[in-house]
Amino acid sequence: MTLEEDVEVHVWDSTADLRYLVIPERPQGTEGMTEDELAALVTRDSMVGVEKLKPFKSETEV
Amino acid sequence: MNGIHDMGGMDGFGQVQPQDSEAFHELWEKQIFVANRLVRTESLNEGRLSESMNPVEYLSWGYFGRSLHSLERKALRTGLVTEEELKNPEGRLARVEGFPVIRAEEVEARFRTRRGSRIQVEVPPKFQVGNRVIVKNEHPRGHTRCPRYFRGRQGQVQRDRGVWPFPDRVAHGLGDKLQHCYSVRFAATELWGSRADPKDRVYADLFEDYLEAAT
Repeated sequence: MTLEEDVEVHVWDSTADLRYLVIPERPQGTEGMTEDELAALVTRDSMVGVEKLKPFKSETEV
Repeated sequence: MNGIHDMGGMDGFGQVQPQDSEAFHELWEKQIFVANRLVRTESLNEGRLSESMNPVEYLSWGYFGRSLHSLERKALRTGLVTEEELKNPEGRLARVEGFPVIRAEEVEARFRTRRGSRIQVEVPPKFQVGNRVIVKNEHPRGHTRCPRYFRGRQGQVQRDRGVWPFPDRVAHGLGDKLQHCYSVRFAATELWGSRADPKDRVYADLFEDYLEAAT
């Protein structure tokens, strides 16, 4: 994954008994989606923070 | 312990190879998972002793292999098995007198009883949010939850995570020494030198005993 130069990276090392997950950045093209539709887009790697969710293109777009 | 398990900051392991999303791939892994969950009555850190493994075994046995090691160590420590019996388990099932027994039909209820480790007890905190702290340069022989790469480094307390049993004690069955755990923020350059981007930050949850005030 390549990030832009101006992006600040914050790393969370779960050293104690707390566990963390990342709320992924909402991908482009998802405006108007329901919660269930959005949840279906989330991946394991995006919740770890090592993947950005790709912009969403619906099947009807040309 | 300054062991192989404390890998933070080490180079040379190559890229992470993502597997499928299955939690278990073999029956024995499920059995070890269940057994470890059942023998742990209090904190997550009970019996967390996989760092005492031979480094080559540690790297090659995998997650459940390390759980198996911890389970064996606990069984030895409590006298449930002897070293000889671990090597030659034939006819081993006899000795359960004096040990609590969990029956198969009780297992599901046990799993459904969830309990976090955080303790609702008032303990005066030594540090406040915003305090600058330095991680003590201590090298405990036994279990610790302070990664080596933080020792001697200065950070800032971001949050008080509340009161917990102290893992360095709990793992060895030495009582719990309740204390606060803090989310501490470090500049990446503080940890990794000029190889790091000055914008980046690293956060760790560190127990009060690991920290001293920066002057």
